[in-house]
Parts: sequence; C-alpha cells; structure tokens
Amino acid sequence: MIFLRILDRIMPWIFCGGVRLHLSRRYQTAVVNRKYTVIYCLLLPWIIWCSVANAALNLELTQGKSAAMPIAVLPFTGQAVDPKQAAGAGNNVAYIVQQDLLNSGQFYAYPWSQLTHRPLLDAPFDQGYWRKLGVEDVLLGHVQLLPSGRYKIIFKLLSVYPQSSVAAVKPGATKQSSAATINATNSHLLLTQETQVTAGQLRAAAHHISDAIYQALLGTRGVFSTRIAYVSWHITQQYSAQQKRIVPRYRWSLQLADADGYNSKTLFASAWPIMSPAWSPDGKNIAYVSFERNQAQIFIQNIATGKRTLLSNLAGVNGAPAFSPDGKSIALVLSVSGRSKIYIKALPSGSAQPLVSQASDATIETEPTWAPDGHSLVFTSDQGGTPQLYHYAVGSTGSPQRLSFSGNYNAHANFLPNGKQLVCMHRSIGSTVFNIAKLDIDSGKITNLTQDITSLSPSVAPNGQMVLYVTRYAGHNVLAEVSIDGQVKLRLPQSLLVNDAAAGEVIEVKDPAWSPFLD
Amino acid sequence: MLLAKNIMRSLGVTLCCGVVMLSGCSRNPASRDAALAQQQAQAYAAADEPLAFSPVDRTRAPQNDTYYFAYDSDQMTSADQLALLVQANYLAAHPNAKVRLEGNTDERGSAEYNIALGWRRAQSVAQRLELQGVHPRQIQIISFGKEKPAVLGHTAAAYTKNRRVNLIYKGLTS
Repeated sequence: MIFLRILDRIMPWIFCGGVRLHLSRRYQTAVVNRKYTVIYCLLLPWIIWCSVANAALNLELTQGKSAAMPIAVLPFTGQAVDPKQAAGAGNNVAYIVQQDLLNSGQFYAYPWSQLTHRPLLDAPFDQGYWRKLGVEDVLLGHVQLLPSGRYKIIFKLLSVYPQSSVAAVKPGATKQSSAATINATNSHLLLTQETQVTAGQLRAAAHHISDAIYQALLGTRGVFSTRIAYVSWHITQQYSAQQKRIVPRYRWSLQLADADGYNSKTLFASAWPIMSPAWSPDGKNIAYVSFERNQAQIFIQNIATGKRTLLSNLAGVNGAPAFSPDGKSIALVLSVSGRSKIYIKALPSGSAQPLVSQASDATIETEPTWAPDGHSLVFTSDQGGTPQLYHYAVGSTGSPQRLSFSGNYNAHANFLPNGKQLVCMHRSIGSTVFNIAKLDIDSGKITNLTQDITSLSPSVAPNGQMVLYVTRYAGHNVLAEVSIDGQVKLRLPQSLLVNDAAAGEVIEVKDPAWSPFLD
Repeated sequence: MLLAKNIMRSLGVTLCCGVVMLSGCSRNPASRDAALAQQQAQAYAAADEPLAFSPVDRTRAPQNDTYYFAYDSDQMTSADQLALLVQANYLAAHPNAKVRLEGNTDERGSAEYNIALGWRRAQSVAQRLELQGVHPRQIQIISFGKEKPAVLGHTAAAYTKNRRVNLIYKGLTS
C-alpha cells in the first residue's frame, strides 16, 4: 500500500506532468492521481514487450542509414507467404529481396504486415496510395511453377515519383541488369525482367533481383550474389591427467557461405590451424594456410572440384597469400631469409622473388595486399618500431614508403577499389582496443569505422561499400559488417555460419574473406 | 466527461513518452552490446584461469619444456636460459635427437603479424641452441602465432601463459 502511495506521487510527474497542469483544481485529488498510476501500470507490460520485440527484429542490422530509401517489396504472387518459411532459409523470392535490401542498411523495406494493398503485377499503378504511405519505390512480382518443374519469375520495379527521363543503366552494370528492360514510355516503370530457374536456383535468382534493384536505385553494383570464406575454430575443454588441468582442444574448418550467411558449407576440415583464406580474382580458387602435419603450408583449393594443390611448403613460415588482380601471380610470406618477408611467385609454379630489394634482415614484412592496378602492394612491417603500413611498387629498388603515422598498430590492410584508400586494423596510442579504420593514402588521415569493442581482420566487399570483419559479441568472435561511411552496421548470425558444430563445442569465427564479383 | 477527456489525454502523453523511450532504446544497441560483451568476457576468462601447472623437472634431459616471453619481446628470462642450456647440452651430445620449437603469442593484434612474432621467439630459442653446438638439422621451427593458445581468455593472466615457445622432442610425449 505504501508502495502504491509512493508510486501515486511519482508517476504523474514522470509521464503526465504536462497534462496535470491542464486539470481544473476540482480533479487534483488522490483519486485522480491513482487513475494515472493504474494507466501507467497497465501500459508498462506493453512498453516492455515492444522493446523486446523490437530487439528481435533488429537482430542482424544493428544500425541503419538515417536516410534509408523507403521501398515496398510486395510478396510475389504465386509463392505462399508462410511466416514459418519466411523466418527460415526458405525460397520465398520476395522475402529474400526484402531482407537483402533491408540488411544493406541503404533501404527501409516495409514489413509485409504494413503492406495491406497488394496490387497484381499488371494492375494500374495507384501512385496516390504509395505517396501517402511514404514509399518511394515499389517492387511487384510473380513466380510461376512451369510444367517442366522450373520456375518463371517476373518482376517490376516502379518509382512512385516518375522521372521525366528514365536513367539509363550505368556502364559496368551486371549482366543481369543490362538484360533487364528499361521502359521509357511508362514513366513509373524503372525495371522489369523475366527469368527461368530451377528450384535450387531460387535464392540465387532473388539475390540477382536485389543486385538489379540496388544498381538501378543507387547506381552502384550490389554484392548480394557474392560469397564469403572464413575459418571456424571449434573449441572443446578436456581434462588432461598429464597436466592436471582442463586443457582446450581445437579443430578448424574452412567455410564458404553466401554473402548473407546462408548455404554455409565446409571446404576443408583439419585438426591443425587454418588461416588467411584469399580468393583468386576469377572467384574459382581459394588459397589458404594450413598447418597440417605440424608444418605451415599454403594450398590452393578449387571450389567447384575441391581439388587441393600445394603452392608452398618451404621450411618455416609460409603465410598470408594474396592473388594479384590479374590472377597471374601470388604474393606470400616466407621466412627463408631468417625473418618473415614478402615474396611474389608467378602462378602456377614460378620461383619466389622478394618484393622489397635489400630489405634489412631484422624486420618483419607481412600481410601483402595488391593495389587494384597490380603495380604495387601495401604490407605491414615493424621497421619503424611498431607494426605500420608501407607501400612498395613491384620491381622498385628503393625503400618502402610508410603510409600510417597515427596510432601504434596498423595492420591487415585491404585496398578499396578506388586504389586511393585502405581499410585496416588500427589501434590508437593509449587504447587497448583495435578498430576497423579507413586510411587515405595521400593525406594519411585515419577515420575509425567501428568503436568500443575490439574488431579485427577486415575484408572489403568488391563494390567497396561494405567491410566484413571479426568482432566480439556475447563473449565470442563473430562476423560483422560496417559500411565504408561507418553508418550501417550489421552482424551475421552465428548459427547460419557454422553448420558442422559438434555437441559441447564453442565456435569462434575468424579470418573472413569477401569474394570478388562472381558473375 | 472532463475526467474522461483528461484520462484520454494522459493516455496519449504516456503513449508518446513510450514511443520516445522505445526509439531511444533502439538507437543504442551498441552500448548495450558492449556492456553485455564485457560481462560475458569476464565470466569466460574467469572460468579459464589455469590451475597450477604441474612443474617439470628442468634439470632432466631429454625433457619437453616451455619458455615464456614478455609482450612484443623475444628475449628469454635468465631462468629459462639456464633451463634451455640443459636441453642444449643433451642435444649437442646426441646428434640424432631432434626437437620442434613452437612459437606462440597472445591474441592481441593481427593473426599473420603474430605468426611473424611467434617465429621471432622460436628463432631466438633456436639461435641459443645452435650457439651450444646443436646442429640446425636437429631443430624444426614452427610459429603458430595466436592460433593455438594454451589458455583461453582475454585477461592479462591468460596472455602471459600464451606468449611462449614450446620445446618438444620428437618421439617424446611428456
């Protein structure tokens, strides 16, 4: 009773202070105060439930762009809108497109519960309805099961605000969107396309539609049809009689998944560490470091056939493989000179030539990354006292040029496609955490893209718009993404990424590598 | 009538405040995650604090052993140097005996840079062995960087136990 009295005194001031001022003196009694308290207590569970439900919806996209484009992706006719299916890895094309666009952080894709008006594909376009809802673009479509067992998918992308002249498809567009028809006579229609696929290709077809929409509305190539490679590290704890303590035991697998984390599969499983997967520019092979038989070795594995070819197993370190942009050579780290140094090998079987001429024997060079024009590399070196980034032209005879002057640890650089900026791991002086940061080569300016929690191992998407990296969440290493302007943040669901976990194993994900464009 | 109108108005204000609260909440998942992650990390590390290692007899040879290093350093402590000398003398006297030196680091920093750092540590131990007359073909060096920690966790105590070089005789299990 006392508690209720205290609540009575406090509640009106917290929530209804403004209203209370409007009441006439007659109603400023204990009875009226009690009514406010009751109302607040009735509403409290609703408020709590809403914040919990809100958290569940945002499980993956942790931060979106403040000016996201509002788009209505309507369920395609011909496919069942099954809530159970929608929540899982189903083949509902429209749902996959909606999630792709939403998770890119660039779009606000309305939930289907809000889209009660479901026009058919060929119905006249009700511009007024969509304007009132605040939508800028509408995607409609139809999926038809053909007698052959294949599926025919037709979609239309319509703009609510018609342009006087419809923008042409930009050069460099994907094969998919250049095949799509831009209808210049109907000023609402931006894009329409028809395609036929097997049941197993439905997800891929949906991702191609997302790419086409992304390109049409943002003018940049989408990465919804790309893939990611990463290493899953499996940990169990076992009691060791010899050491009289519980010791950790490990195994590793090299995994491949779609860019959204679905369809994960194991390329190679091992009782020894696997590191540093690197894609060939044609997307057909992955090079990686394997410690099988207690020896560091670099293998190249063909993704389609699974065939493994040994690239390098010299004594000591064989590490950090990186294919050149033309795919004809590979940079790697060897310790044959006494310290880790970078070498370049012509593929398939050239001899390893040192990158930096007359390098001092005592310094470390590692983590080579090729400039997009293939003429130079950036790498990590401690020749300045701490790990920093250096630039060196292939065939040069001078000394490496230092690029990073801010912070006491800059490593794991990736060139952006523009060749003028790098993404790297960066630690500021006095800080204990690493951030993913962007380094402008000309000015030396470093901008943090992530904050607070230590983040490592960045890999840049082939369109230069997103960075995939490792961070800690709920005590474990997981994969996350941040956009190149730092505004969009995304976390990949761990349960999708690892499909071969055994009972009692703890999984950490590491060493992600984003594929090139795979068309 | 007036009472009902005022109750409805207060309901509206409460709902508005509720919406403001909610939108505030959804704008700060990062700080929520950070706090939770830190909590979880502490719990994880505490569970992995090592029990006392069973000591090895460092005057005995052949004996597998472990040498520990300071952060970013490849310098051996004098106690470790003395212990290494025992194994070096044995290896020099038994040219068919072989050892594997495994260099390791703590988890801070990038994976490949830590491979290079682990290599530097193992190299430093190998050089001391060779100075005592051990032949290079008796020594295999490998660096695991941060890939195989002896102790899981994100604390200074775990890091100290992970910055190490393992000396393991081929054919000797303990």
